[in-house]
Amino acid sequence: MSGWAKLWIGTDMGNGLLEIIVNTIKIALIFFAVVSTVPLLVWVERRGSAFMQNRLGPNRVGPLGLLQLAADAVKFIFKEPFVPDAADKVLYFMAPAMCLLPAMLTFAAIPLSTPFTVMGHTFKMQVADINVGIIYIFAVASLGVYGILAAGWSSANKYSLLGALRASSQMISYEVAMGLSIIGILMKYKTFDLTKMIWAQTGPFNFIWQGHIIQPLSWLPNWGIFFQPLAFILFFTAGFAETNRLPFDLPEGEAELVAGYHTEYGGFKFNMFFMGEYGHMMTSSALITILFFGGYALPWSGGGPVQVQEFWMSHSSWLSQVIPLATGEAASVLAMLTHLICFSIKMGFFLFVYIWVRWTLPRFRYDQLMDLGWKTMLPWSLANLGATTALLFFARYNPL
Amino acid sequence: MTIDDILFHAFAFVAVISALLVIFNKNPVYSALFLALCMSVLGAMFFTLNAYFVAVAQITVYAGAVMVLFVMVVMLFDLKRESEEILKFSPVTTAKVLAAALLCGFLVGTSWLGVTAVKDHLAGQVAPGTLSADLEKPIDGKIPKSIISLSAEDSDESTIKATPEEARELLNKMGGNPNPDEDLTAAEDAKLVEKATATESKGEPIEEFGSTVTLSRALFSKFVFAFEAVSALLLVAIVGAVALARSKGGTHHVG
Repeated sequence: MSGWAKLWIGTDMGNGLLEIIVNTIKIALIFFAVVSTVPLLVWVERRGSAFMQNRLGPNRVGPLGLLQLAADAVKFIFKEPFVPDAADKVLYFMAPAMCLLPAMLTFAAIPLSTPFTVMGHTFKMQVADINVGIIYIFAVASLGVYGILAAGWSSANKYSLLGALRASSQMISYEVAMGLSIIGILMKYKTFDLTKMIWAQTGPFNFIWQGHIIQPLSWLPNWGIFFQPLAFILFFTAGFAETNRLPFDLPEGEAELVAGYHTEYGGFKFNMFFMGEYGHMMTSSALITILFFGGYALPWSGGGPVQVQEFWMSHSSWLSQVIPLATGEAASVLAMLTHLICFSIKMGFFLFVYIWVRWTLPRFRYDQLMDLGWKTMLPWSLANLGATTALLFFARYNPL
Repeated sequence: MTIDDILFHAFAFVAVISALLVIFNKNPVYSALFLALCMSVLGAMFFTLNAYFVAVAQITVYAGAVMVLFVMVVMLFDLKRESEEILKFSPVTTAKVLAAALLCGFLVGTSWLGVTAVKDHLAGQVAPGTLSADLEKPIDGKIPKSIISLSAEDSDESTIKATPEEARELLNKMGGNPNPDEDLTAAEDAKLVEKATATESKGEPIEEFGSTVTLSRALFSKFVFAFEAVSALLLVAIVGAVALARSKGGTHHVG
């Protein structure tokens, strides 16, 4: 290998210039994709809530009020920045970033689509392919508490501190139920790798019982929710508490706590908390899609991603005329786009459910919230875990 | 130098600095936050060493759970009086400083001994009984896995395919071939090449390294006693903390 090629391709992972450049671009792309989806979600949230409550919502700026997003962004940037006199300046400025960063980092491990090949190089639609992806997301998401605690403490405001305490204790409590609820489905997939989980959910609904493959309902996709419906309900509910959204938005309470831990924040610093919350919501929706709804794989596609690739390969005769790439590469790009659209639709649906629930359910009282987390969801997730373990033991027991 | 090496050293630097700041900061909230940073950066260092599960466990358990509780509690207390107490010179403070110095000396001494032992081993002058079971002297030219990864780090040239001469030289360097001057048959040569190739290409021999399966297998078979002993130790520590809090003069003293 010549010196230049060695530098370009590299001899090892993380060694070649190409890989470093591609990864840097990927990091930037994912960051901007997440950040720029936030205004869109805010628009859906505001217009959607208006329609649910028989109002009109923001409809003055631009068509359908779409330019309201731009107006909001401009307002966030040009507001006067202020710092409370008694605040701990360093932490006060760091807290919004400490909130936003984990939300962005968790999204790095989400596989958005199948890998595609261009000019002989294969690119993964994922920033970091970690073989323990799901635990990585949990680990990094749990670091988000520091931002909230730092914001509450450094603001030198009693409402902020109380809001931060509420938010952090709520997040810690629901992390327990959330983590326990998915162990059952992890045992079913036998992996922590998110991509392998998606592949385990392809094909029709089937399972192995004592050495026999049983396929009772062949029209049903092999999604995780049909194996672990209780885990889905628990995980989804805990997701609301983790993102501090209604019906669990106790950290903010106009009457008791003003705006909770971000009472003393305005302008762009507040916007960063806001984006962090929506980032968590997006990661949570993506995780639900991957764990329970087959990820980027198309339902009813037989062999899953392989089938899609083969479908585009069979159209390679006209593909090569339209797209200036080798036929296999063109097919891989189109398969990637197909899966990306599929993933976006599934994820978008859950994002909508988040917004839908927010404007449908009333909020809990704080003691009810804690009761639900510790006395209802934790026992149920433990029971789910025990039952799944027993069932899997008998299912994998082979008498032959 | 790969990106992994650069990142490893950057993280190591941040870890040391934040660990020092934990001690030298007067504000306990900042100390706790720096400790959390130190834990997270240690996790990141495990990532650069391809030990993903350990990395993630480090972040979840220490930075994500234990330190959050610390930070929460520290933020709620008014700790000004406590910090003054520590800064005052008294026999107790002297004892504390001495104990800390003793621990530092102990750590430095052990790590120094460990480094010299590995170096001696790589030079082929291994003193019996100084190393752990993993680093035992190779028998019958069989190279323990830990040595493979160590020497792969050392060699600058990472060729994909080694010639028989190179392979023999490399294995001699590691003390794998007991008779370096002995002529080998073609079959043995081929075997050597295979071995050295596995040694050289860093990606391949450590494919399962750090995976959950490998780790849990080691944890629940070879190291099961140590694992259980550590959990018993943690239980003792919890019971001790509760007992201290409930004892006379403790925060939860009853009647």
